[in-house]
Amino acid sequence: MKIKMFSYSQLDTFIHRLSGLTKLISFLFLSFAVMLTYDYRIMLLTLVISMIAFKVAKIQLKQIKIVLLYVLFFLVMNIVLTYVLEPDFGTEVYGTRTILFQFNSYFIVTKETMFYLAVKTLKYFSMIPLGLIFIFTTNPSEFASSLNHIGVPYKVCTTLSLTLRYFPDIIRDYTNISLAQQARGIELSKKEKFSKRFVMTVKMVIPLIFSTLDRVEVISNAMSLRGYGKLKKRSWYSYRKLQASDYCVCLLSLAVLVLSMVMRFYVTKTMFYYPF
Amino acid sequence: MAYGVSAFFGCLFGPVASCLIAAIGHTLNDFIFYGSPWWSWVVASAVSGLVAGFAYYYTKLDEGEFNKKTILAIIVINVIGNAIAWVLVAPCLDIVIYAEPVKKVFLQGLMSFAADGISSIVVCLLLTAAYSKTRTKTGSLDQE
Repeated sequence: MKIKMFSYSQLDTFIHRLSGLTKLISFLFLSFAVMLTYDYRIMLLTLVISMIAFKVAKIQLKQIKIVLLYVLFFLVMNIVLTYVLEPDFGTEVYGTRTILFQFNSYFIVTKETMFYLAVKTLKYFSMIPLGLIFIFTTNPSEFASSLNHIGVPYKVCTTLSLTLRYFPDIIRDYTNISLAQQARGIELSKKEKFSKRFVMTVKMVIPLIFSTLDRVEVISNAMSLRGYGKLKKRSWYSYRKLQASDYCVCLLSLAVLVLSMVMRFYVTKTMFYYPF
Repeated sequence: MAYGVSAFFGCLFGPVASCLIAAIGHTLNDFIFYGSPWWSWVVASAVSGLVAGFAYYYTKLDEGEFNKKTILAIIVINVIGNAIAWVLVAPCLDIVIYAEPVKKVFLQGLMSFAADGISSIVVCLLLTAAYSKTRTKTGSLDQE
């Protein structure tokens, strides 16, 4: 299990210097801007912005290769499913039907559906970099503090930062258990049948859960001994004061969101913009 | 598989805990594997965790009780929770937020209902069975 979790790397770029709160807010604004519309112009705009941010934050392609593969797999599945179930979905949303060619009376290929699927692909690809930039450039402990500052109760935030803090420990426990099992002669590599390997993995989860439960007890005792949860508010070590650049970035992302809403509700007056 | 774990923690610590576990787990998982969370399914996960957590009130795992009633409670509650989450909440939010095709989201919902429902019941039962064995039963001591 060599999952590289939250490969946050401490670099000194413009994006890294922004406060976590700014990055969270911009991430939410921009992803809502894309979520709310099927207008490819908004998506292209977001895509360009996030590509620039990628360059500025010095994120390497090899860091995100696995994510891209997963997304591609998910996307292809989604597109195939959409097409097989509703080959005429484009007509439903755009109102016109231009048949390009047809296999039989059910599987027709219309210009509208193809356009819809292309826009959908673009939609996925413009949403994904936003989240990636956010997790690659935000210090995990700052993540919790920024969530608290947008109004999430601090107990939830602490839970989240504890999750992030203990994830590597749990992975280590899992590796230890798995190595211990293998030292006793249990085959977990690809030589063993898949079904047997699956059963063995489930069996390994049980000691993992128990070690986690022990840890839960230790941590929660330690926290209540220190009086956690007595007061209504909490301050955060990792909170950074907002700078001028933070306000600029927030405003820019807000502008994109407003533009997306204006386009949807006043200019094109539809979720599905179709230029033809 | 993950849903079984959150359902198990729900049996131990109650609905709020399992709701948070499911929601945070799903969000982080999405961040890592897809880059950006798919919010409608995060909400659905949270709902399934919340409902699964109600098993806390019908089981006495802390006292080492694991009998037919426990099994029945876990199965019924998990079926209800997963049904609400995947057949109702996830597809409806998909339509409202993302305007996905209706037939597709309900098919996806049914598929994940089957997969998550079965895996969460099986994993949760395995874990609760193992856990209850580590607990001393109340009234297990006899005066001689």
